[in-house]
Amino acid sequence: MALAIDPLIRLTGISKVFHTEEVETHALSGVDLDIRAGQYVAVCGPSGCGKTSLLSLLGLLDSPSEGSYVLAGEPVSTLSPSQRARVRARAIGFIFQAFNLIGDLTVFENVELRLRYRGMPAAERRGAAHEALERVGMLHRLQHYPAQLSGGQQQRVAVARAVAGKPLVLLADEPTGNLDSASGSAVMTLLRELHEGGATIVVVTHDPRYLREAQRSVYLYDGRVVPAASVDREVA
Amino acid sequence: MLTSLRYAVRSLRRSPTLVGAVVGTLALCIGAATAVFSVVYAVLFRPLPFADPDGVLLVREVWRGSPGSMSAGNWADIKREGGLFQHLVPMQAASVNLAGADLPENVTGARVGADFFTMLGVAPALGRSFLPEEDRPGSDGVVVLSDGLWRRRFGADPAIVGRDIRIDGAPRRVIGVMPRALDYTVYGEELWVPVAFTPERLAEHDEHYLLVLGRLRPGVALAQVQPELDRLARSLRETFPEDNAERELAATRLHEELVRDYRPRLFILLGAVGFVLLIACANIANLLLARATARARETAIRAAIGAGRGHLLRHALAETLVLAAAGGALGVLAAYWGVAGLVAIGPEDVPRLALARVDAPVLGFVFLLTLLSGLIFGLAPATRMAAQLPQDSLKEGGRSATAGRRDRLRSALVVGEIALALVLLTGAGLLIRSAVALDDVHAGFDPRGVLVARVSLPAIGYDTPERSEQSFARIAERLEQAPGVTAAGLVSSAPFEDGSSNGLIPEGRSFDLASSIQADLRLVTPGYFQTMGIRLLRGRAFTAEDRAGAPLVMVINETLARQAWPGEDPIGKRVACCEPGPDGSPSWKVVVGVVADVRARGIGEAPPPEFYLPMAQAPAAAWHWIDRTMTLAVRTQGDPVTLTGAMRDAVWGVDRSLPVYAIGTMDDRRIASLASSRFSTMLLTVFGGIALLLAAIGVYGVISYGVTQRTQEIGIRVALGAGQGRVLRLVVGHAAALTAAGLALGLAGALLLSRFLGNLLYQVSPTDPPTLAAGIVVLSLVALSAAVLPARRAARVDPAVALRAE
Repeated sequence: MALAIDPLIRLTGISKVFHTEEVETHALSGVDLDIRAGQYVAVCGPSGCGKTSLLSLLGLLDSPSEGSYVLAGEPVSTLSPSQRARVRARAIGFIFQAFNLIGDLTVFENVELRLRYRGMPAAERRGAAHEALERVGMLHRLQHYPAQLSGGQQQRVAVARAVAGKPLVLLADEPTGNLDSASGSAVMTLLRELHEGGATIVVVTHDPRYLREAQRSVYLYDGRVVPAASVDREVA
Repeated sequence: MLTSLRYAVRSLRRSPTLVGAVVGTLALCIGAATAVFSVVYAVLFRPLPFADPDGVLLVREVWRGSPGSMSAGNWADIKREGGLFQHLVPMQAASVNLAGADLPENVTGARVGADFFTMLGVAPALGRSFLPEEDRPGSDGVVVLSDGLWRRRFGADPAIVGRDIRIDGAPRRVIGVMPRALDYTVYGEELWVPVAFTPERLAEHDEHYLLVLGRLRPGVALAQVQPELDRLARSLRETFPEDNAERELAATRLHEELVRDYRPRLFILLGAVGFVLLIACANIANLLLARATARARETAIRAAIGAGRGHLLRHALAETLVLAAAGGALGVLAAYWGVAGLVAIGPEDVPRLALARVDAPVLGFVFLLTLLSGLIFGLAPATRMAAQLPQDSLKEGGRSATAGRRDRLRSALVVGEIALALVLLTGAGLLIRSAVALDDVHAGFDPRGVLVARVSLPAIGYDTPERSEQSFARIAERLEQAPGVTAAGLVSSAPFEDGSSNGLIPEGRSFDLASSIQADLRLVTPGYFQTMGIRLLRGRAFTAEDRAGAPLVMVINETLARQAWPGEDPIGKRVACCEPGPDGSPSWKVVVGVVADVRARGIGEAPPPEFYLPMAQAPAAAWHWIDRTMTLAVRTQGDPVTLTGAMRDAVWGVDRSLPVYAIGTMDDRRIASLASSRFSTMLLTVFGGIALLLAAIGVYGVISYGVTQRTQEIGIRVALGAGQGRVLRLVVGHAAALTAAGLALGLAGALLLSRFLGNLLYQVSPTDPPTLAAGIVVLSLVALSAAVLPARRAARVDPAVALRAE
């Protein structure tokens, strides 16, 4: 999964401003961030600090108001919505806090959905989905629906969906937030194994236990990247 | 796309209530639209069963702006001189008696020129069609049968060709049977015989009774025809000025002519059912918009993991397609029943209505309609889904920032529904008021307790006017003596039956066509006016003394009296008409009575000028004009149907071979004369009712959904001290605003569109204020009632629960 291009992700002077009627909210201001291929990065900070906005920009769910975003050597900050959708399908795997599996689709169909959007041929798609599900230990539940699975199992399927087809980067938003501690640990172990296999992972988390899993932590405060010590001071 | 459809089916199976509501509504509306279209297609668009049916023209004489029939002499001259026509064929309806082993039967036939079938381009299924030499008096003893008559009367006997059958008392050899496809020409006739004009007939230019059908020579355009007909008309006027003054010629496509009167009525019904479908689509779009909102998070997830707009659109449209296909398929089933129902209750006079069926063209219509419906109700929800922001997948609640815009769209759809419903309700209301006005019209006769039937005398055995007159007089006598009969009379054409007309010249006017008054002629026996309950206003009715050889007399109606002698007493005035007198002088008839106007052409039509002649003094030619056919009428105190046997006995007591046909009560005929109007009124009322119901459901859906969406807001309002009344006003006020906007739009639409109903209305203005007001009141009440239920739910919101839930 690791790529020779270094850094894999480069954010330069990124700002994100939301306009709601008369109010202007600065979610991110002047964020500079490099993430190398194969790195395991944890993003943390207090509520409202801009973690979700940063993840949205990294995952090309949104575009920045200012600044540049280069992914694997390609500038992506000015892509159209449909171009961004294509890059998401090809290069980015998402793991959500609420699992976000689609209830009408089976485990297998959920995992292959992103590959279908990518336009991957059926045989290749089937192989990649099976491989991903085997990796998370869910191959025996191919034809089950999400409602028939426990929370931990659903999140493992969500991980499989994210890694299927080997995206360039995995983005996880509080992946253990809706899980009990045992299931949470299992998911974090899974992420660690993926990282050891060469995956680039960016995880947003509040849980200090999981911060230690990451090679590197990025602290956000009021939409800016700040040193860890300053966050501690503010929180204190 | 197949995978999308599979997923769509699976997803919809989890929402059986929604699917049931959508598919049920669609099936009902597509079924209704398809059934109406089947009728419209059969009547207006199904090609006539001829080769190149658009090439068949109806050539008519036009006198004082009114198109009419053609004289044999004029036809012969036009045929001889008109170089543009490859065929120009005369046709005359004939009521003929078929002798049989058991009961004699009367069927509608046609006397036609020998090249009739060649002109139509239809070959017989059995045998052959007419030869030119068979279209001459003396060698015309042949007949061609329709497929229907051949099957019904002769058991589809393939050996029928070459056999003789007795028609009007004379044997005719069956030379051919037409294919089943030749289901209709002009009269719905079941057999054809050669017209076989005598030289005398061909020389007549003053009796106008023929329909003339023509086909142009190859390469001749329709635009070339009228100048040629103008030239021919000029020539006829110059050659026969007495018979052809003010007479023009005109040609129209036969199909256009046959369906002209039905076109506006059928298009209005099609438009009305289209409106109902649009309202249904608006409702379904509202349901699917709510579903799209509920599934915003799923859509955002799809977008987040890489679904582009195309993927999302395809996914949403796949569901739409599945719903539309299911609705369309069930709609076809509903249409089968709908068509059968429409054909069963449809007016009998609508040409080719019986051919309405769900066939390939109609299925094509269903396919297009289903596709169109799917697009109409599916596009808005699908585009909303395709525009879903992927970053919403990261939000816990998945609530979209576009909720407000969606509400406006849903509200706009309901406004549209109310507007369309008002247009339909107004249309239905106008037709109902018109139908009520028609019901109140006095037809000029008293139909209660009157039974009528037709009898046609064949040429064989009744070849002289005296024989015809004497036979009918004997029938009249027998009817008068029949038990239970309080009055009996005969008439050449009873109200609502086709008859003949003549030019009259009141004494004192010059003897030319310009001075004549065209009036409907009825030959009657003395008891007719009393039997039919037609009031005598002045003078006297006919008596037995008004016999042949006695002074010639006539009775006229009020309209003719006003036209001929405005402001004067017509009794004792003389009128020339119908035949030359002795030595070629005018045949004067003295007006002895004036009777009330009878709405003989239809309850909604103004009474025409009419004159009645005693049957005993009928001009000799009149028996030819009326085809030796009279209508028998008897009145009784009780149920007139009980006199059916007595009526047959009276006829068969004179001649056992005469069929007694078209038996029915005058009450039924009066109702039948209103059938077209009632049919349209009933259908439009049903559509208006459905529209009202759908609009109510639409208002309920939007207000109810709004209350659900605003539960937290309402909870806050209640927490801040808003009382139940205030909350009720808030919700009902929203419904009232939507209804008011819809009504304003609908009122404009109703004023704009109701003028298309103008021709169908009787004594009601298309912009009738009471009708418009009633539509507005009814719709307002229904819409506001639909809002009450969600409003009461809103008023009961517990602020603690609402805020906790959020």
